Amino acid sequence: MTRHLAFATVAFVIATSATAAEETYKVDPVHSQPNFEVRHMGFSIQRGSFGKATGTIKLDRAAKTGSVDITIDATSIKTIDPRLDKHVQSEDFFNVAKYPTITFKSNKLIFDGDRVVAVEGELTMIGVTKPVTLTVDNETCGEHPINKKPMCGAQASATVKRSDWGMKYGLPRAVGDDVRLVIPVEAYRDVG
Amino acid sequence: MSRCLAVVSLTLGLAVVADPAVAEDVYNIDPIHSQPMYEIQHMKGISVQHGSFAKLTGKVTLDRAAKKGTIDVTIDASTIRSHDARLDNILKGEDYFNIAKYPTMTFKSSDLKFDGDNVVGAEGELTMIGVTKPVTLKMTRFTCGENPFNKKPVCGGEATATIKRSDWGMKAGLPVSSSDDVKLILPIEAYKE
Repeated sequence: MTRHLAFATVAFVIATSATAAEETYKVDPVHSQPNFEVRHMGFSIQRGSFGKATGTIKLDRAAKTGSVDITIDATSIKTIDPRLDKHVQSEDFFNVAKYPTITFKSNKLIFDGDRVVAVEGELTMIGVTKPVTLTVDNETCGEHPINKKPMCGAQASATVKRSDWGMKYGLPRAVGDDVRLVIPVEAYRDVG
Repeated sequence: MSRCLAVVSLTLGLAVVADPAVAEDVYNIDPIHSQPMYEIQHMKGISVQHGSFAKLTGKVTLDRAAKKGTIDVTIDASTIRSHDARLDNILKGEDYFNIAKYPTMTFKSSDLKFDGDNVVGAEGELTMIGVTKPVTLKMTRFTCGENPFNKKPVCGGEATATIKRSDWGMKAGLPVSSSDDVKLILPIEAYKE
């Protein structure tokens, strides 16, 4: 009986770890450009994006674990105006000469059933690291209908206060403190 | 009775006379802060992609007392920016916006919807690639005040609508590559003339 149990336990652990393969996904930079929304003088919402983001997402659906590791090229920021692009790259905002990248890292994915619904991680920009929880909507996996590669997609979003990272230029009237992040994600499974 | 009618006529007459005094305010749209955005589903909804048009010009007229007004906007179709420079060229081509033939898009409305003093929507017509179809915009966050820096009177808000691009005959990439439903998100800032 004891031997059986021990055997069963060993077999179970091996079987579980063998079947519960962690899958690795590479983020498609073209279709995963982070967008942001910010209030302008209280009269309108203005938007911009970062043209370049790269990274890896790992998912173990059976164990309901995973990780996210994204690097955003801070110099690739695009706003409503080329003159403003220069300004937001300066020391007043992203200080890209000193901090050329923004990173988001997480080892805690939140699942609802089989679906990822949130990611708790840390956003590092202008040298400051703060916790951010991304809400994940519409996480969907399947086959790319044209190139037939296995992939997942989703929409991640969060609202942060930029002053938490020390980015205070233009507060409170010109540009709002609350910044809504809207991040489309498409990632291809690394099939080796 | 006829005296009553006369009074009514007189009142109407006064209203007509008073009409020029009920100033219709004219607002010029600030092109930098009013760039139309769109959202579209990519690959049967696997993600939502965004783009915008960088140049538009236009006017909004508002008569708050009479609760009416107009919108007349022209968008430079060649200023479309998607998430990818290669895609921009495809979107400017004949399969999509065909900017060589149709360099501008227009939205015109003479039917603004009010809730009290606030503009909450507009029924108008969107013309693109030579086709004109009705579009109802929903307006949120409509606010008027003074620009805190230049002190000029300004109104702002955000108009949205979801349209089917196939209604205008834009069918390339349907149904897989990009969706028929396109959400339009129109931030607006307009300065009083």
